Amino acid sequence: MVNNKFQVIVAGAGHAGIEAALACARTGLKTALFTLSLDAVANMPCNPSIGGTGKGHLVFEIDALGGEMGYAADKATIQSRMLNTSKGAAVQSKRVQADRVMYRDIMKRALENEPNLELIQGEVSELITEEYINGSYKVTGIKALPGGEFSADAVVLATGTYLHGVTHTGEVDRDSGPDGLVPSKGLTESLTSRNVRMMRFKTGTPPRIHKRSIDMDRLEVQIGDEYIVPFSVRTDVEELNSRKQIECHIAYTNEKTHQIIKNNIHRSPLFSGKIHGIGPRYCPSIEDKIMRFADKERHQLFVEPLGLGTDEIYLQGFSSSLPADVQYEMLRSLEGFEHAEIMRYAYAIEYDCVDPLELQPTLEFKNIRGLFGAGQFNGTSGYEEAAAQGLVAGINASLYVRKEEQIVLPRSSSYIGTLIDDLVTKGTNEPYRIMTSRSEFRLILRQDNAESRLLKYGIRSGLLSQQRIDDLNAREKAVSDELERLHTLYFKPAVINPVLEARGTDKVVTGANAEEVIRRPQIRYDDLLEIDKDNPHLSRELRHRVETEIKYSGYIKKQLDDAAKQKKNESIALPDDIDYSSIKGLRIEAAEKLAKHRPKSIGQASRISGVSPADITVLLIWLEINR
Amino acid sequence: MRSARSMNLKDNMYSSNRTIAAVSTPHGKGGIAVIRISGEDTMDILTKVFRPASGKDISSYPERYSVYGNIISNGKRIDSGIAVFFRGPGSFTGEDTAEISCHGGIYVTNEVLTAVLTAGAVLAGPGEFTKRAFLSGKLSLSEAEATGELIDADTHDKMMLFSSAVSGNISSSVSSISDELNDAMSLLYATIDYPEEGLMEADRSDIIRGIREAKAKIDRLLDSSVYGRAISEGAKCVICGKPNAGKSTLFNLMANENRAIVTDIAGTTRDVLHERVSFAGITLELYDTAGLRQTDDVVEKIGVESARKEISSADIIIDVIDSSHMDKFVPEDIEGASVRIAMVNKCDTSTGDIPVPEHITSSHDYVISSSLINKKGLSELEDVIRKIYGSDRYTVGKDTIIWSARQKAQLGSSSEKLSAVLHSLESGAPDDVICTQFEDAVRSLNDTDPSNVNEEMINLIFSKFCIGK
Repeated sequence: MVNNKFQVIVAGAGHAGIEAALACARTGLKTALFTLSLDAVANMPCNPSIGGTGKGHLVFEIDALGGEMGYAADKATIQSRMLNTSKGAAVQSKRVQADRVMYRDIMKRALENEPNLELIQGEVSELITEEYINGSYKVTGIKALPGGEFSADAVVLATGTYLHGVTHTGEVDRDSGPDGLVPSKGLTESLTSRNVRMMRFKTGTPPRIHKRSIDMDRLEVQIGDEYIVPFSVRTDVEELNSRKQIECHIAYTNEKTHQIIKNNIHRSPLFSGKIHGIGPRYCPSIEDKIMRFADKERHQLFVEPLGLGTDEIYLQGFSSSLPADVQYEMLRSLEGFEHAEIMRYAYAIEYDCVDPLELQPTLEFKNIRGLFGAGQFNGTSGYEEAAAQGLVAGINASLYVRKEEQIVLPRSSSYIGTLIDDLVTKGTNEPYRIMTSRSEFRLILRQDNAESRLLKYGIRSGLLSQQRIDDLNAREKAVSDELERLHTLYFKPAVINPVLEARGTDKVVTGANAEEVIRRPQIRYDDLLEIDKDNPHLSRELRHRVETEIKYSGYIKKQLDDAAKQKKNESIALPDDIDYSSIKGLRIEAAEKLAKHRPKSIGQASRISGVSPADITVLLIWLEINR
Repeated sequence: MRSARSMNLKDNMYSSNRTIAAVSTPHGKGGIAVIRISGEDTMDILTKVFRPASGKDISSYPERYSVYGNIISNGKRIDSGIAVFFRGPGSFTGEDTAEISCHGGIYVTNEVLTAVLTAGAVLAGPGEFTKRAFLSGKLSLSEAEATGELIDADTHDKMMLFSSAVSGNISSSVSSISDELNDAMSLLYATIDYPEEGLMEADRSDIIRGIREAKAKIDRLLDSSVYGRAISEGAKCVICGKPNAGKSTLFNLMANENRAIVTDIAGTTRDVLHERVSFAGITLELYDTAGLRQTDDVVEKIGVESARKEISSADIIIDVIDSSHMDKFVPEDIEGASVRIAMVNKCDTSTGDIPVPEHITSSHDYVISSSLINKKGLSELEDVIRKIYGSDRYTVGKDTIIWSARQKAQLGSSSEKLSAVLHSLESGAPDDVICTQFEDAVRSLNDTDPSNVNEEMINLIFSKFCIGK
């Protein structure tokens, strides 16, 4: 073998693997990225959509840390919408429809262009490790099919839904990865033989339909936003907004559809008991929805194109594992779909993933040094969740190889931090999806301030250029200068009253402070531009940011205090080698949970279910005495 | 350098590691006394101090088995008695526990305890058995709080109040209100996280209604604290008024016995008479004061002084006023009294209703016409006190009643925070802000009976309990 030595090897070129490999290569490490098929790099086997509630936040955060997803998604955007605009700045989430092939090509090109990165078609089939301390292991390389042995200082596993993948369409089940691609094997055995707990999850996807067979005129139209906020600071905003956006549509199920499903429910492997994997509650199959919510008259479906270069249409909300003939029948019961031609059948897929409790908050395995896990392999669902973990795993694998301290993102810093903390602290019994309600810090974790709140970690990641850091600092200064200016800016009644009146809010009799005025629900920052001659002409994004900072300042303060409090607990470290069973006063259940989870800090320990604050007190006491 | 807090933690650790023991029965002579041991060395210690009459080892018996035998100290038998061993976690504290019943003499009991301590146990701190039960998850906080109180209960109502709480009625009320609140907000959360599922947008007026209903339940619990406190601590009620107005008659009627000397001669009552009485469903610390008048009589002077002292810290003041001297009534300038009731007495001596002058009605929360000599007005007084202390609205043993200042503070804070949520909902604040405020309010509510408290709180609560439980 001529070239079989790498510093980092990444298994899987899905959304997690890509970010991990780029992060390592871009920090100067010789990196290999293995994929089962070079034609399925950055594949979106479900909806070619990126973002959504909470997920949009993740994409902004990935960009802030120097990841690739946001930039590629901007480039491949064919429709963009900001969701939840009426529900508050913190829960506003961007969602785009992307061109699936374009996205793949952009990502593949980004990988190909990376000088330190080798992209190789092949299956990582085995781990090579050596014994490490206390019965643990240290990774030294992998075996690939074909290709043989490769050595590496660190390995990132991002096998998605490929590991021992089995797809189900009615009575037909096949050993297969998503989209009919070959599944991978071997790695599960490699892990379980090293005492790593694995799990089996399930997910699914709806049918793809030929556009010409759908009567679009009878469906509701859904258009994109007039103005597109980019995910990435690297994106050319003007170019993005100059693009013509496609239309999407909305369809509905009806009584007839529901009846067809009920009549055939016994043929669904989900209900017949053939599928053992656990599926996500928030992404149920259509048969699940009908059976569980029998009273609901209709369910909404989104009709979305897979891209500009194809007539394949995706039907969001119609995921199923029913047999092909039933799929035809139920599909054709929908208004506008009477003549529907199915191009790809809906299917459910089962796959192996790791119990994320096996991982540290850095995403390195607890029991195997140098081995990292990311993406659906870690028990999550969604491209964005995958990319977020891939980036963190990549950054930390790189820091590990360079023998630097790894990064742990606190919950108060980001949804990425929240996602990883939830996973490695609480574990999950279904594919985990991010949601805004998962964060106790939602008011400070907004899309608009992602860059600012993650700056510190972005710098540590080594993925931000000096130019970008300088630009960011300049933007930060512009925002804080403007906030300060508005704090001391007053308008005379004669100047401000026409604006107030026009917006239907009370007039003032004495001078009005700009900050106070913006705090009124009816007033936007932009309303004042006209009368505020000294305004610094900030960009649209920064104006939005200034407005939000002012409107939320009262609520934000409390969250910042809470964040500081949590930080204190996070900073009380728990040594790796605590023998919990020997700590007196700790309940047996708690000792077992703690031994299983091996929390890194008191803060993390306190979030483990089954560990009571009384146990935390015992731990604090124990630490105090054994310091 | 160690902070005071860390020292405190260390003290805690010292005993929380060790097996503890204490005499669990009251100090003094009794038929039997019980020495309780808890901790992981319990069986060890028990083996050292207790020899079953059968000659077998105590550890060879099944747990919870009553074993008769001898109690040994320094190789000598000091008493005979019964020992029972409970294996953790199936014991009160959740740890291995043993109870040794011996003869209840003061000297014998001390000898047995000394033997247990010599065998390796440390003396339990105040409330330490209960504390361990809480720490091992056997009791919730309100259950633990009530446990200490139940032991001290000296009235039937107190016993009912605390035994309900020990059986978990506060925990279940709090968790059902918490469920109700979450239920009210669930659609709002769903629409934020799933804006594309075609869910109907949450109707704010529905949410407001749901939160109001749940908040009303919290407010009712808060309101019950007046009653809970009156049961657990009693209320201080001072009867005052001019000499011979009928104070002692009232006192006797309320105390239901002829305690104070009642005569027609002004100035007969010379001392502050004190009685704990059960009246209108609560415990009243009842004080009958000497006539509050200038006097040269030395004994009477002491009475007057004493009366003023009692009055200054009273919860209820009943001014007994002679209906024929109403114009001369001047309210005492008293600080701190929460409720003032005027008993206009001797309404029997004239005919018809007697108009009560404005200076009396305005200086009292309640005015009652009475003829105490004929027991008239007493049931009206009872009604007023029931109303003030909630015994008209709550039934101990049936309703959930809170009593501690801590519970009240938590619920009060939750209620306030829910008011803020309601205000935000009504004034059109964005959903994200509402969710954040809401979570804060629910957290305060759940902290009323927390499964999580900080260590300062734990120490504070458990130091209140008496030793041995």
